[in-house]
Amino acid sequence: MKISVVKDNLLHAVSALSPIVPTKSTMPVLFNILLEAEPGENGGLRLIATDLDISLSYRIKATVQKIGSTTVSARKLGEILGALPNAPVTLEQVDEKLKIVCEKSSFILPTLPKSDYPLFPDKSFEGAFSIPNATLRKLVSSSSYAAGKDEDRPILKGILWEITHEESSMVCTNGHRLAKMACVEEMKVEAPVSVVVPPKALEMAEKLCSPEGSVEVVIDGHHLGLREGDTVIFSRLIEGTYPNYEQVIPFYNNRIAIIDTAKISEALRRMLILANTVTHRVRLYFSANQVDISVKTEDLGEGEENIEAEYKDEPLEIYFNGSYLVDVLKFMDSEQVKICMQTSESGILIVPAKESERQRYLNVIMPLKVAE
Amino acid sequence: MDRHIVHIDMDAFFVSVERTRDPSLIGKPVVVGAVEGSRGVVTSASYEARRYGIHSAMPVAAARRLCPHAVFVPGSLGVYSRVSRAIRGIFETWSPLVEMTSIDEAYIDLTGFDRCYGPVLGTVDRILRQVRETFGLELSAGVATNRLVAKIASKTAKPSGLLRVLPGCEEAFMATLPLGRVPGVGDSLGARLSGLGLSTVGELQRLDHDLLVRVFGATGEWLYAMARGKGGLRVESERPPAKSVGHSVTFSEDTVDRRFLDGVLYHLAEKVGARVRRKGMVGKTVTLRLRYSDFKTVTRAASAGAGTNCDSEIFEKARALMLPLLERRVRVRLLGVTLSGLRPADGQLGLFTAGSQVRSLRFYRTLDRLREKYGFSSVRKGRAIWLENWRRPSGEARQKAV
Repeated sequence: MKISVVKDNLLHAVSALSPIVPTKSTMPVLFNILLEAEPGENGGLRLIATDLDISLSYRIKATVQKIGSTTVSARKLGEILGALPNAPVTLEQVDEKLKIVCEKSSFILPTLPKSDYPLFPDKSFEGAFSIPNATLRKLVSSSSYAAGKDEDRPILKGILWEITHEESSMVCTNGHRLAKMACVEEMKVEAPVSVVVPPKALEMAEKLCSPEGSVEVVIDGHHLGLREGDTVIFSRLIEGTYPNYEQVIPFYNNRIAIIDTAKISEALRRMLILANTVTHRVRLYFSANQVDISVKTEDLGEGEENIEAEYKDEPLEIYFNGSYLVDVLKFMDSEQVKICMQTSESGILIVPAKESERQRYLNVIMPLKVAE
Repeated sequence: MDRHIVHIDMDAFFVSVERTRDPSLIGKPVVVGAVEGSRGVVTSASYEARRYGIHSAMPVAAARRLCPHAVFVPGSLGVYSRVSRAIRGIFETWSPLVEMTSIDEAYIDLTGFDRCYGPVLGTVDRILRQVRETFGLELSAGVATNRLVAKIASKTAKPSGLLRVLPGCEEAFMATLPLGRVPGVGDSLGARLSGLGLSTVGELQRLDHDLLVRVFGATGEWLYAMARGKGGLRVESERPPAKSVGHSVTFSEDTVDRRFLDGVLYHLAEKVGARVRRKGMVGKTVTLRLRYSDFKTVTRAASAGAGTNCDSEIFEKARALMLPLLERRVRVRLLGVTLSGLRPADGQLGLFTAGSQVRSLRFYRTLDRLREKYGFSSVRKGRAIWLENWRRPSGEARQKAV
């Protein structure tokens, strides 16, 4: 293999692949990325990374002098490229080494043969449907933050992606909070689809694909495939039954407060300074046309702030993990939010005060039960 | 300014407390540990009993062979803790830096207090007298410029003594000590040292630093400093927060009775749960310790998700860990349950579990309140009550055997 490429293009590709390269593995070859110099008129360099759950293939333009393939440490290649000047780079396979030359610098890296590297999933995109990147981006970014991190419940680490003919929605929950974004979009699916996808796969797609285009999506029993041009991602689906989330969305909560999004968000951030660093506990007290946000933490201090709210019900005191509230408000793109409550021990529903025709966004947060 | 670090050690603490509760025990050999005939270990022995070779951590049965006419007292940890806290209260009137390293040992930093109280030796004598007069308990103290020498001094001064090692005399004081008397030199290190022909600290002092480090690594550094009477200086008045809470029990008879083991396990889970709830914490890891009758000991741990302090959840996790271990078909001698990875309980309700969580929180709050008022055994789970019924006939059998 011998090719020459523009350094910035190669660096961009290696950085794009690096989130997939595992940091710990019993298979050392996974620390490498696969480089394949492809022949043909518009020859190029294909780069592949995989952690066995997610595989990513990316292609950049290159002048191919000699075709071939090899694998090399993703980390070292990335570090070397990061330190080189922006000039053409030549990659050449010499015996079992990879020689990198850029201006007057040259490096020799050990390699492992392509035959040691896991095969890239060979699946066709026949029967794929497509989704605009902008919609995908919206769905992923406004839901994935709420996904669980707990290894004990792997299903909650995923994004539930539900697709029907006229709508696509994503749901995430960690068992304490839930986010659901639904976008109205005509989808060419044969039957409604419901799969649980690792957030990383969708986040990669969101990052790598152009903002205007659209992504082809193919789903089979165990895999999700995403493709835009020469960029292909395959991810294993998370298996298991996603909890029945619909039944815990408190649509009938009727104690309603409407509050300025920026104001409550800023007030919460201020209160969180003095909140317990583990529980992040803040108190919200809703009364006639106002909400009182306060915090009181032993050994740390206390704080209080009062903001206006449209609220006409009986007063209600309710405690929350304040960082959950702040997270939700970050993704609310309406000026005001509507908070629907019932009791101090039941979940609250947070939605944009102005509903949009094209998208529906909702969040549920469970309160903290404070010892009497 | 010379540091004045005081180490205070209660003499035969549990025995002494028992004697203040029952004066008829005075003058007799007394062993606190477990009820006669049982298989626990000696936690404390009076000086009279020690003359027969009884020492703490020895099995009670062995102690009974050495001195059959000794009085065996089961011991009441609750009482000892209360007395210990009260004694700490006295120490704290003398210095803000008081560190209780165990129920019957404390370090007090009196550095600089000679300006208020006069010479340090007189001050310590007053502290000792105050404890003797208030509680009728004997204690010993060592005063030195660091923790290590102070601790050895108090040990040397026992019983009822007070010894000060003057600044600058540490090395000479240490020289005469047998290595086995130095805290930190345990059985294995002791054996390695005696293998080199060393029996006293004085002999160790003659070895140079580099040699010790070559032979013992980091321990060599410590040995070099120790031999010269150098030790720690910090007295920490605040105890770091607990990282785990655990309970264990050694049975009066080894058993594989599944129902009995379940009962014991539930009882241990209850004890752990109650203590963790009192701290307002939840724990993430449940650890089970099981010792077979052949003394093989196994430890297994399971994650409890985001954290729990519910008796039944701790029990279920521990039980799931125990069941496979019973397949070994060897009788069980000891069970222990520990909850670790403690963090403050936030009361976060779950989307899918809110109802049962609220019920469980209310249940445990009521349970804990009842127990606070009427004692731990006032409310029991069926399992644990049944455990008590099981114990009685076994107790009788034991008495017959005696």
